[in-house]
Amino acid sequence: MHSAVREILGRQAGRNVRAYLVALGLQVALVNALTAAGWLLVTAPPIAPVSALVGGLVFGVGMVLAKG
Amino acid sequence: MGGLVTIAALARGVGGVLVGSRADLPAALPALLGIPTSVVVVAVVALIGVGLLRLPHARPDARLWSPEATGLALGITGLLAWITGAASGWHWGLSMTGPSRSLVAALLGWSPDALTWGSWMLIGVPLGTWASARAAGPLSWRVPAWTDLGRRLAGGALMGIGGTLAAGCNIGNALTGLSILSLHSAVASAAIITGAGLALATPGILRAVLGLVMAREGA
Repeated sequence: MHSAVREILGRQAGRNVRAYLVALGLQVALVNALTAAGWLLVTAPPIAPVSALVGGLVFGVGMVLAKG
Repeated sequence: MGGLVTIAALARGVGGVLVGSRADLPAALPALLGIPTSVVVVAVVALIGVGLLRLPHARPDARLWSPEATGLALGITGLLAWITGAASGWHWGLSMTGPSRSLVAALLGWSPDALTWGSWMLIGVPLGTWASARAAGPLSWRVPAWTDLGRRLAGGALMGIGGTLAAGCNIGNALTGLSILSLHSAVASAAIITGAGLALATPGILRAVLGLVMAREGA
């Protein structure tokens, strides 16, 4: 994720962005298909906008720090 | 002591405002748009497909897996997490933050029954990483330089705090939560990318945050 953001900022979406998109697309398609078939139980948690925003920002900065 | 009590009270107050869930708002994209889930799923997958087609291809690198193979492996791992987790009552795919918390709680004896499917999965992560690195060639332990160690510790602490507040890290939100079209995960993922982007674009922010964290730890 850290590397993917680096790629986006460098305006050259490379291998990490591609890998992430493939993984996400696959999961969106298959998890929802299995849910529709009744194999999985899926409930989206209620949204907590402020904590998602603040927590996400703090996490993002931390991610860059931790990976150097 | 009085200071500690004040800080704890302040943290509870701030936490109360921050953590407030809005059950009155739609939780997932289909509910927000008023469109059936199947239609939204097809549209999202199509958008991702178009994005993949339009993105420039990465230069092949013999030492690395192709991005497609990596994404396929990660996507299948995530799917397996949903399927195997469901069998033990874990109805949320891959995730790191929640399992980290429950694992620590279990190890400290606060709640031994907190060893969820996620906690066991988390224990497997370093083992799997080691095994795959081992399979790729000889490996050795590396210790980062002292200055780098402080930076990594501070970053890890921020990831723990941020991940707990946002109810998930980049895996739990940007991969698992987005796969079920959760709006909470969409906001959190956008914020994570923005935070990382800000930190990368302005090294000054990093120094300021690091200075602040170090000062706190020293105090």
